[in-house]
Amino acid sequence: MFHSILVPIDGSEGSRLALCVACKLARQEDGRLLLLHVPEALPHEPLLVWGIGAVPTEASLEKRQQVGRDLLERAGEEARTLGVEQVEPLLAQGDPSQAILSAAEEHGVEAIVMGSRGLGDLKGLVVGSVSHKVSHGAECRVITVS
Amino acid sequence: MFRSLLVPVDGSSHARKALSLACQLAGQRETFLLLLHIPEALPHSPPLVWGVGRQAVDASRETRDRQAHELVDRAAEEARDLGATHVEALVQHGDPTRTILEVARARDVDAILMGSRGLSDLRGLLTGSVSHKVSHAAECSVITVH
Repeated sequence: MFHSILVPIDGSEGSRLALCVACKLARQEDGRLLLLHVPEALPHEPLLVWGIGAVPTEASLEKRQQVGRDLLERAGEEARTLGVEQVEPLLAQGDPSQAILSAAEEHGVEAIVMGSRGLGDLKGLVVGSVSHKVSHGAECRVITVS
Repeated sequence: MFRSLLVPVDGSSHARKALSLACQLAGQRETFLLLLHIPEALPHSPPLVWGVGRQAVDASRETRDRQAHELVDRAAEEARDLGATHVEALVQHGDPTRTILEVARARDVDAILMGSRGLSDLRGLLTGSVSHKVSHAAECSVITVH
């Protein structure tokens, strides 16, 4: 059904569940997974899964990018454990929704699979979550997992 | 990953996409698919997949019940065509959001998989779509297809 799937990874439990769903879908088509991380300065210190730990609010962009690369590496390992061979990590910058939409378009993916509420969305209850913006702005299929 | 999936079907093209994704996730594994249809009398005549199910407001109760069963039976047939082996078709009456949540709880499903916007959601732009409400209130995972 989908030969290429974009999975935004922010270290939240939701993004991990989304990765599992994406792997299940990709595996059947021998599909390709594109894992995308967008470093964000969060107003709080979130708890991250995959053993990376929380990133202090005052961390530099460079530090957050390093953490992002670690996160993508672990997510990639998990995807390979779940049977997906073609996994490509991608680090982007800027507004998360914009970065996700640009990456989806640029790489011509057939679907985006993402958690319905990421780490950055605790502040997003009023302005709308990233997944909400992505699902309305994307030209491909968007599958959200909560 | 998921042993049982609840898929609400209302005859919209969104529900059809959700069903095909559910079959994909069910794969060859022993995943149980529970298809739920909740007949609604709609103030408009929506374009429908699965041919039947348009509910004229003035149709008799028996006519509507028969159409509801026809719709969910055709959806079940389609699921089997797509490779699902354990499929059950269910018709329930009531408020869509509440009924979906009740069935999910009563049957203890691992996840609910649904289209982001169903037929009744054309009027739901202000009050929030059924999928939005379900994803916030459900105790299990909710996968939304947009």
